Amino acid sequence: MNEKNQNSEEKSNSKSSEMFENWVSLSGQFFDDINKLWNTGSKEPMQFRSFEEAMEQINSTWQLSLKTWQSFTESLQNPDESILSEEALEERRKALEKIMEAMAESFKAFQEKSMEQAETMKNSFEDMDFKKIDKEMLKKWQSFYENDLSKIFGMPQVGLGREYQKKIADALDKFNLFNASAIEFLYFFYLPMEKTFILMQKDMEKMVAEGRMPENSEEYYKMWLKKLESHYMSMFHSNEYVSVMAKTLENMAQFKSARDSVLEDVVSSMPVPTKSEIDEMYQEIAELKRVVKRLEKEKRKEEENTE
Amino acid sequence: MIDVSQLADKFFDDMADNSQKAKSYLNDAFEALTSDLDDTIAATPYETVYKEDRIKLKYYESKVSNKKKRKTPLLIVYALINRETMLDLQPGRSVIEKFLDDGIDVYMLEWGYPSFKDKYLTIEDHIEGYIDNVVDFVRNRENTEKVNLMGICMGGTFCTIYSSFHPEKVKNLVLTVTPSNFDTNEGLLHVWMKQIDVDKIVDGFGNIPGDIMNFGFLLLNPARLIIDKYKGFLNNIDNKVFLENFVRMEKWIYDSPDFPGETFREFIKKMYQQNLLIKNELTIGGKKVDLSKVTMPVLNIYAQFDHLVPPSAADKLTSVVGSKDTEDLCLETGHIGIYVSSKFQKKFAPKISQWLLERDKPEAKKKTTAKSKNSKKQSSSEAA
Repeated sequence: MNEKNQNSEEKSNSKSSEMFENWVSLSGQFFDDINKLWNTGSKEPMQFRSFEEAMEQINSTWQLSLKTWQSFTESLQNPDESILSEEALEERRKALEKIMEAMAESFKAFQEKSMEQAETMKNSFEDMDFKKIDKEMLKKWQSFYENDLSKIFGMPQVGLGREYQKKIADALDKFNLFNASAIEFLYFFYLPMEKTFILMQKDMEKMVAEGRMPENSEEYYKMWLKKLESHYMSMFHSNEYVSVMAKTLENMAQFKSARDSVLEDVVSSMPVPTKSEIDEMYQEIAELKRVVKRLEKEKRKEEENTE
Repeated sequence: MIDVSQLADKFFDDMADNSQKAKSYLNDAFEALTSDLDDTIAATPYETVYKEDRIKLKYYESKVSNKKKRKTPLLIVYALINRETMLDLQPGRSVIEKFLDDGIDVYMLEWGYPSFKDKYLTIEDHIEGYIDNVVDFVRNRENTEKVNLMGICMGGTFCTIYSSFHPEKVKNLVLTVTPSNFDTNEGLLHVWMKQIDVDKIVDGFGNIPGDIMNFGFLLLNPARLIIDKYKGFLNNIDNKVFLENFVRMEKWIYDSPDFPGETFREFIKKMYQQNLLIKNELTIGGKKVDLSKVTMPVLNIYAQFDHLVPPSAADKLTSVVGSKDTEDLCLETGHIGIYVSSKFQKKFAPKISQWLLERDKPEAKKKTTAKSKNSKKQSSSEAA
């Protein structure tokens, strides 16, 4: 090997080595970022204003890494440049180890986070006694849904179908929220019934002990109805009931909006106008009619005055 | 202490007795249910004399002799909830019929069934648009400067606002179960409406579905309206006359048009949540509603056991209007009973009729060339 060739090989080795190291560093950075993002307990947790900002940063690192990898593989296609020294190979081995280590850490952190979440869910479920549905249990379920499960539907969607997926996830979330509040509302509705039956039983025991009983079933019914009505009336005035009722109504309306939004996407692919488009037109017509009617009235008044 | 075995004997004796009765009851019930039931409502003949968008104006002509006829026609404005057919439920239980017998020509505004396109209509569109157009139409047709205005429930609130805007067109104002003070905790609607997020509801639904409103009304007293009512129905299912009356009411209750969204939003916010009308702070379409301008005689009738518009929601108005001739009358019945119960057929409509008679001086003729009743009518006849 002459001096010229040796110089050329060294130059080539140095170039590919530099490229490879660059790629290794960027890939390492990518996985490290992910690790920091998932693992909030890490020494240097990443500080971002939003999840989107974090994703942007990770994405740009990943893009850079890919470009470097592309240049590196292109350089490998050139046989003159693919010959690496043992020293260089050792460097690459170390670098690969570094990547593998970062990857392993990232996956470990992700797994730990998932396990943590699963543990929270498990604890929440254990707290709830599904055999004994009461006000507390329903509240726990609502808070569990709003604080844990709902987040799954709120996860950012990416890619071409992002907008559609987001709407579907939102509709599912709103449906679940509506169901949760509807169950709570129905439970409230059942409470006066339960209370009335218990009270009736006590009253009847008392009446038996006092030696007086209603003459016929109609009297029992009247007693029961009066108690039931009174329990409903006091419940209907309570703040707790009113807020559950208002929440159920709001959740129903919000679910309807979210569902309509999904259906609009389906309709928009067909040769028919969507509800929003028709709504917009109705609004314009309503405004135009208002103007026309006002003008008509003014004209009529003017005519009456001149006559 | 009661002898339990004696109680058990009584129970079984009753059971045996009732099972005998049940046999004939079921036979009669089947016969009644499968017979030709007369459940017609709104049977009094009328003519549709005006139409605009979804609304129409029904004209009921009194057939009494000219001598007995009243000089000023009566225009009835119903609420946007349920339908005006309640005032003419059946012969013998009809407010309209009573007015006609007393010589009053009646015009009744039918709001119709709002569709999606009515979602953007506001309170102003209803009052300064439809009601004002209808009032002008009646004034022209009857060739009179003023009309008598009668409002039902929310329709009464609309009539009050209209009368403050156009006192020159209203001769007498009759309000029936009309909410004007919304800051009360007596009626559940007043309690509930304060806490709902009306924006979310209107944004989600557009027009408020009649079914949802009906469900809300049933919730006001489920023990009576969901249980006891149908227990009464089952008890009397073998009675044809009872059955016919019951079905008539069911037909009326569940014939519920949707409520125009923007009007609902405005009504809940400005009335139920801010109580602006009685405070004289209400503006509609940018115009201030000044109750001191309600200077015509006002008759305000409400019901003591009204669960929708309790007395405290209705009895304040006469003290804040500008009129010196006002009268409050509280009847011992409920929100609907005031119009349909047999007992109040003898009190409610006769009272209004008499009150109007006492104030039925001839009104100046309208100085217009508009079409009068005897000239060409504006729309086709639709006699029932």
